[in-house]
Amino acid sequence: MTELRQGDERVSFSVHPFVPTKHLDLVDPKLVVDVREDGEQLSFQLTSQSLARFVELKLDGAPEVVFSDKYFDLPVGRTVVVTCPLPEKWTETRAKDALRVYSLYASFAGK
Amino acid sequence: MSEFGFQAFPTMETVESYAALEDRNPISYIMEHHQRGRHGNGLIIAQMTDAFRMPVSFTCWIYLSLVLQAEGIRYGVEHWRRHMNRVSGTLYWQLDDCWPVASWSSIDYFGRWKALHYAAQRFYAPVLLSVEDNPPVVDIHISNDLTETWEGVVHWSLETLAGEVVDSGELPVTAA
Repeated sequence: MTELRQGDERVSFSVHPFVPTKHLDLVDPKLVVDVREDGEQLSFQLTSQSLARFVELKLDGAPEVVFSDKYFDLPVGRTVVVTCPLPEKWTETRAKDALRVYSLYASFAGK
Repeated sequence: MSEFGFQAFPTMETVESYAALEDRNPISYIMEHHQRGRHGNGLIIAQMTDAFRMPVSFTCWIYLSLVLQAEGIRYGVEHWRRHMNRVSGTLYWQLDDCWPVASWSSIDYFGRWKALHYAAQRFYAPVLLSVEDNPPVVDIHISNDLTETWEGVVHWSLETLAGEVVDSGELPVTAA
């Protein structure tokens, strides 16, 4: 894991496994997402219990929404905050119900 | 370097616009009709099994194909950005699609971003952090495409999947 920092800001980070990703013994990362509505924007604060690779977020019923980031890695102990515009006529409650979060683990474990 | 690329399927919602439930298999007639690369699916399967475990569902297949495309182009662009003296610019093929289809695009027919488009935001950031694997050595690189010098800090840590830190370190960075 490498991080690039400038002052207190994390500019970027990169996860580099030492084996092919298919040979990583990934377990359920038990992703926790805190969803907040802030005016016309939604924010999603994500944390993980184990390394999560290629985290994907979706809002059911709003496939056109562009998030500030998707398909990122999420190691333990880091927080990633992602934002997107609040779809028209949506509420925070609807967004929470519609949110689907996946990671690489789900692609082979099926959950 | 231009006109290089790797195919991915469009997002699941876009696939659903042309494939009925019974067609949702990558090799079905409808799915193959929406794949114009002669060896497209074969290449995707070969590369996918090099990198990832077999997907457990059609939805997971679509997700993995998106991740695979993003990872492939990221790997190439990061390499080229580390060797600016040889390749001083890259432009991957292609931006978007004229119909809903498996393709080299990073944005699908409906304007939905594929994983590659999100990855492009990261691997085309003016200041790029990348890691080069030359076993047993791992090199950390900073590529700076800004007109001014960039100064900051690179922090590295050797961690287990559960986040236990085995070793770590920090170095100041000045990237011209």
